[in-house]
Amino acid sequence: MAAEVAIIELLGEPRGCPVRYTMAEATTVAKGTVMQITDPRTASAHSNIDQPIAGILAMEKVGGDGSTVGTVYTNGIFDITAAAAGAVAIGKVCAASATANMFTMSDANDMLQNSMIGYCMEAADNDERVAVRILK
Amino acid sequence: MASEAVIIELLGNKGDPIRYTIADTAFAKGTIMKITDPRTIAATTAADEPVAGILAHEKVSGDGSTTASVYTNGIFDLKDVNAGGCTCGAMVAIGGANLIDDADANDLIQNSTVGYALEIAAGAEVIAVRVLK
Repeated sequence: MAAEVAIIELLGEPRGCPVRYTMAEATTVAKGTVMQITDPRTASAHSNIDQPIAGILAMEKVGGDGSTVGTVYTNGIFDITAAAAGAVAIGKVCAASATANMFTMSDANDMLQNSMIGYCMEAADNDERVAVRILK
Repeated sequence: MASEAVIIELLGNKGDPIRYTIADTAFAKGTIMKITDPRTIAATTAADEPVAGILAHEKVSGDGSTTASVYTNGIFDLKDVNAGGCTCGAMVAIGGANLIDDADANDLIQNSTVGYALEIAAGAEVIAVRVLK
């Protein structure tokens, strides 16, 4: 994978308000991956638009390590990359894009289906990496 | 300025303050702040502006400081805009300088929501609002 998210600040108590999810045991997922929610209470790597977002994977998941759980950060400020056509105006809400770990401008549907990631603390051009406030 | 927010309760880690860059000018404590580029705050002045939170402390003009924190988690007394009125439990958005109004769908996308009303507000009434940004 590429363009994983980087922590700027973890907020809340405990730091980043981590939430535990089930994860596939055999799959490797990098720390900082934007995670989507699947059934039941399971997290997997985000890969497309309109996916419900759980948060940011807090630690690397190594395929075949025997673990079936992972934790996602849900509260903080993170460096995230805009998609190739993912420019977002300052302060506006950004949502899951068609490219893994990248965001694009949100629409009303994203709010209903929980595909929003957070709001941009800087104006984001296409492919630009900016600070995003996440609170899931 | 007038109608600054007043703290009722700070929730989370003492209001979960977030630090932003700010111009070296004067801002009153309790001002509802908007986000400008890059990761900078300024006082809200109108509807449809992206809201950062509630300024946690007074910023004195010319004091040399270029950073300030906003509260993002708590319950605050906020004033309804004159033409407004808010429904108890419904989302409220920025309606002017330090004023709130009923939110619409666009406010959700453009991050203009301030929180949700904990009381019914008649026009220009000060009510408790749950803020979580």
